[in-house]
Amino acid sequence: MPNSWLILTRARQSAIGIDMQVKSSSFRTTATKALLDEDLRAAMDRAEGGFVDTRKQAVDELVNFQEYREFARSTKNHVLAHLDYYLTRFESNVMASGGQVHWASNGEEVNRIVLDICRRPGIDKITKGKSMVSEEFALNAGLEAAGLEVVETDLGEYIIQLAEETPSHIIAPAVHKTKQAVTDLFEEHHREAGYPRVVERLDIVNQARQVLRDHFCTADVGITGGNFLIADTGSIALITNEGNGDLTANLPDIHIVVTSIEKVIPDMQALGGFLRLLGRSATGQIMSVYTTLFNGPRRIDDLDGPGEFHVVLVDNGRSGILGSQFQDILRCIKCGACMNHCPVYTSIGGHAYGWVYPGPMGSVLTPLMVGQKNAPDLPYACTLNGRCKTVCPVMIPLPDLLRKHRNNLVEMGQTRSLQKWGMQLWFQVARNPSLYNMMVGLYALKLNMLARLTSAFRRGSFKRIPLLGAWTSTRDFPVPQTTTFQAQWKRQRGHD
Amino acid sequence: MTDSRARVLGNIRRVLNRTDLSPLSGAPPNVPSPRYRTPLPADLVEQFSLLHRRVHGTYEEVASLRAVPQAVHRHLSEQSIPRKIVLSPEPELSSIDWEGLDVESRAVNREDQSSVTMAFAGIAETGTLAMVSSKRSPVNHHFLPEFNIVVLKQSRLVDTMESLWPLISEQPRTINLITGPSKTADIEQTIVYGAHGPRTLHVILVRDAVS
Repeated sequence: MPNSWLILTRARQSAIGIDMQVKSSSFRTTATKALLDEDLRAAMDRAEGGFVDTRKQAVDELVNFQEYREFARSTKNHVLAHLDYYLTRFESNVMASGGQVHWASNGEEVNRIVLDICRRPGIDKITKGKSMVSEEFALNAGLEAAGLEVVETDLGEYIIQLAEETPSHIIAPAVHKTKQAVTDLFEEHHREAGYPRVVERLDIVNQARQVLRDHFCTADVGITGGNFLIADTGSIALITNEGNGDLTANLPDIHIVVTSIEKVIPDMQALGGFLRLLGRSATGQIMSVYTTLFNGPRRIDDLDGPGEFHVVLVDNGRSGILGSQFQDILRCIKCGACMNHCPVYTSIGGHAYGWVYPGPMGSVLTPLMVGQKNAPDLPYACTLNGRCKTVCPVMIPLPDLLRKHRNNLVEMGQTRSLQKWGMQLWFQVARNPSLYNMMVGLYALKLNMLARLTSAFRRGSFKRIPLLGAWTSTRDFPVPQTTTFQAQWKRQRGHD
Repeated sequence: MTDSRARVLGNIRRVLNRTDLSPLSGAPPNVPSPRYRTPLPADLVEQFSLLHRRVHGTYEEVASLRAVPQAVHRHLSEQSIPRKIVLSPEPELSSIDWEGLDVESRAVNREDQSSVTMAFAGIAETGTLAMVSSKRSPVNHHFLPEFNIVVLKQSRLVDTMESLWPLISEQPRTINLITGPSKTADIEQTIVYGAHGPRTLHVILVRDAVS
């Protein structure tokens, strides 16, 4: 795989500052810290239940959901196999409706393109709809460094912008925040403008509505993402529930869409198929509140809408994934179902993953985008239970891709020496059944004897075992019987 | 950024073994038709109103366009909303006698609390309003006011989204598919209505077709 974009990624990191820093290499530490964070655990428990139940209800109701998944998989595969065709078709149709298309091979170029559009007299304030792509290269930091005011308008994004954090979930960016935390944040940031402290959920939302209304109506540029790019018509499909994306896109005089190249789909007919999957998979909604198709700037006799319409098509490493053994991840429509169903994600939250995309899709994508060496633990942040693969609306074999990452890490020599040594030992023992049986039997007997000497025997489990401290620090280990199952089986069979 | 365009497309074509002249091999698959466990009502009006109410929309039916002002009046009173509305500049709306309501037909601004618009179509499967922008149908009417009232003719109901696209002959600047009032679940995953867009979405269905 060509490594040029990797080098660019690193150069960018040092150029633009902390937001884009890849912190995935400290996964072990951050994950451990997250596990001990009671507030986070409470927030994650609540979110997991909600997402999983509502998704199941909505999916069960659509009897041929599986047929849609297969439709989506083959549509995306077809598009990826002809990506140049669909992108150029999309491009010429955007231009035909009066829009401008910009191509960016990496984040640095995106920042430059957006700055070039914004650097003119009278442009001070930018409102921004939620865009995960723009997090990849910390677009906000780049714009702020150039003296522009950037206001996130999705409520969740606004909250984490005030808290100076990054999203912890791709569709619910502030899922880790409690109501109390939002109350405090709002008081801290809104008090000066004369707003009271708000405690009730409705009052919090209303205050955000008032504060952001001022920004919507005074912004000079609106930046949004895009969920789907429709090649046939040159339309951007943007999906939100709050309506912030539309106010961001319609009120300022310039609308910039920052989106990535794998989001293109053939036509409007295909859009319906994807929409039936996306809402159900993400939030259990049959249809999100606002699905908008944007085609270029305001027409000559329109009463509203932006005078300029720009689309920035971002590659940022994606063309390097195309054609590789990880190509399937490019089908991802960013619904978040994989993380909502992941026991690792729901225990540690999104921040522990250390970069933009958390959970199973993030563990596959992050090493590809920031370099495997910078995220060596992510492919192991998985129990291989396969729930993510089962719920994925575009049928990405996530556990298989994580296993491929693990293989690659081993081949690259990127394994800890203790792990390597342990696997070698395991390999030798497992190849020799009689040695294996003897060792397991001996271990069971020893543990059982150890138990008899301590209080563990009465309790039925160990609180601590020598050499297994890491395992027993978070759970108990059951006291084994004196003999192994195999030995008991043999004896039983002898009696029959 | 012509260089970047060449670089991105060049990367893609190299990997895919294609040139700028390579044709498509095979067509994309057809979208399946939805099948529901609990069958939806066969009647499109019933289907639409069921789905629209399910996402917290409010709804009433009138016999003709002439009866719309009374329905608007009723809704504003029930919600204790000032009787001042901004219509989208749709001739069919402005030609109605609005009987004592304070009505203006123009673009909305941030002080306007209520708007009355006319839907291009309604999608029964999802209870979705399809708004197609034009000089007669500006976009901000759907988002800026706190209360949005939408007139939907029965004759403009379609079963699914797939049936909507062929009705749009000329490409508008925007197509807004709206399913219920604005909402957010960003505070502890609990739904609150009226995030940035309208708090209420009231549909007045006009029975203009004999079923």
